[in-house]
Amino acid sequence: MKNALVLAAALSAGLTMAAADASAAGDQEKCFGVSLAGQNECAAGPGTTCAGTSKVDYQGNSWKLVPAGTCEEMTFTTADGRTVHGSLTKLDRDLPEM
Amino acid sequence: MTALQTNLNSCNDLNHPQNRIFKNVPPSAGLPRRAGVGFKAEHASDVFENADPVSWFEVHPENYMVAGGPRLKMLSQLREKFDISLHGVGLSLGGWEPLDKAHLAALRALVDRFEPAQVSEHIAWSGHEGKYLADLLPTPLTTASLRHLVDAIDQVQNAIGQRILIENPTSYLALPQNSMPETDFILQAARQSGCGLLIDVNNIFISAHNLGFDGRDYVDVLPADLIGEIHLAGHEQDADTSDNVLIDTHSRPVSDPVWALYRRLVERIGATPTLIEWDNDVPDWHTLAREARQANAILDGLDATAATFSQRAAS
Amino acid sequence: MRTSNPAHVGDLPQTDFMSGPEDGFHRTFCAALMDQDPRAYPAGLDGRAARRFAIYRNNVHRGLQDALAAAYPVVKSLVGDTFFYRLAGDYIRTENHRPPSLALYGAGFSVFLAGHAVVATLPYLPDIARLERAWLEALHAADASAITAASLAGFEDRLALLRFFVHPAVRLVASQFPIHAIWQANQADRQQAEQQNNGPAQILYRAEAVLLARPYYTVKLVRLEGAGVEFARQLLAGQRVGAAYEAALAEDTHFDVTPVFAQLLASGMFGAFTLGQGGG
Repeated sequence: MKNALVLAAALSAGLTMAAADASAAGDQEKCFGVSLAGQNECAAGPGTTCAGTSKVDYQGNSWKLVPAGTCEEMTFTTADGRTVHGSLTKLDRDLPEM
Repeated sequence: MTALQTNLNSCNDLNHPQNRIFKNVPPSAGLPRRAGVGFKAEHASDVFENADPVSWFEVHPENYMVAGGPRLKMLSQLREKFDISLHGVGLSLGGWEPLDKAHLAALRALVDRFEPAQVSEHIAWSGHEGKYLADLLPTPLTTASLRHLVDAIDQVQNAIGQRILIENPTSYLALPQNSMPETDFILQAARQSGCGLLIDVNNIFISAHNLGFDGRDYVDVLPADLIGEIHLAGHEQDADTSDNVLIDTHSRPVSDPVWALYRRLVERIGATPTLIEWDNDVPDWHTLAREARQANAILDGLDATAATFSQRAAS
Repeated sequence: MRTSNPAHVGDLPQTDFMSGPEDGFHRTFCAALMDQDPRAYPAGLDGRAARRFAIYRNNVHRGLQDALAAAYPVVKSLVGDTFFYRLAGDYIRTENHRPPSLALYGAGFSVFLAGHAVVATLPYLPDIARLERAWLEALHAADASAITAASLAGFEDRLALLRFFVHPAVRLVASQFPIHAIWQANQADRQQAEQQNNGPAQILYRAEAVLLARPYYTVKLVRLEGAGVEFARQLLAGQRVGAAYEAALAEDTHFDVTPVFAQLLASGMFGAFTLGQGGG
């Protein structure tokens, strides 16, 4: 167990380290630059509102699909050093227990 | 007499027992009688550099019903330079349930903070029994739903302390229980509640096409003293060409027949704040500004003695 | 209103629901919009109107699906657009929470995913959704000032005694999966960089937690692991720095507090501080 003086020194070093990290400051005025990243409003606002879309666009709900996105491209390195490529179905055996 | 011609004699009679006139609501400050556009975050840098010829902006209050963060910050900065209009899409005035108290409180908070020149809402509903439907759904044109709508408008106006405008809907189909023409419905709603009208000329054109009436008949019965704002937008033919139905996509330039209908309206009622709505496939600022310039050109050509909405309303 | 059951194209409508009270109209219209059968329409509409009812259904479904896609871009990227939109189509039928803003639609998506068959192949998906939801909440949370390292000038010798008030935007998402690495690998700018460079990054398969903060207008993510998670959790709970350190140390005797304290302080997660009195 470290004593109080050691802890004080460790925290003080953290304070110095944080002071050197300027990332927290400096974005006060960058409102426009960043706002688009968080714009998850629909194009026409809530309700997609007044703007309709084509009625033939709708797809039925009966489906048999498998995920087909970046989940298949990611490469995981497991704790014992093995690398697993490809789909996550193959990765199943390496998953930690839920 | 066509179905669209209205008989408003009973409406104009303030002593008529059916006309429950609510207490005088203060008029809104009113928008410039020029072209405005719907504000899009992607246009922010253009807008703050040079918004010409646009002199005011409209936003959906629901997009700003958040506690804090960049959206509200951006709206503050927009408000510092321009008049804004809050155009609601979520109050569900045309629903059959009591208004959502939290939603109304959130609207009032935005009105208090941003002091909009105008507040408006749709004659539509967007949820029922807790289900959020995120669309503007059709309100039955019946006396029962008229009474409900008038009560709802009254609640909103009392909550925010100013007169609102209500917008005519886009129709894709006629509900079978409709018992009065839409013009009767919206004019009675306005007269009885003391609110004004936001006339969406594109909606009239689309509804006329889809339901088979003449949009000019609709436009011609709208009284000048009630109209506080006009909306213009682009529409598209539905991809299912077997039906020949127009969709209110807000994804294109305003069409020529809609410009013609607009000109017909403002030549009669005078210069009126006019919003260009473009919400899908949003173009660059230059393209949007061109639409606004076209609206301004029409407004500039009008008789300069035409009264403003606020002047008309005050008289 | 005599029936709340929607009719279907091809059926002969049995009743004219629209002749009754309007609450029946709204309920029937709503039920037809959310019917499992995409051909459903409210009884009482004639042939052409019944076909055009699909415009409203399409608007409602696409509107909510698009809102969900905008709120969960990493989940969408992971499973692909087609799969995501089908997931979203199922989700919106189950979601009854009505947020004031569409910006905050989809609060229950991670719970929905946890109960979906997709977790058999993508067990980390619900946790990614939790992380994305936390990001959204952080973005739209109340504004408040955050303290920086400079704010603590003069307290260097008493840091262990401080308690912090957490900034309103702060969220902590802990997972048994490498959620921070997966999230990072699915950011648009990261994906572009990969195409130009060496392909997908290697992801170390381990438990990760993410602390989210938004001192100004940008959401910041801090990856935490091991005893660092417990240290952050204790600070979030209002414990003194010293007590939080002891709790972390109890989990890992080799816990190095310096870089974790520095990261948390620099993230802007603290709104204010006080010199703690009494125990805790």
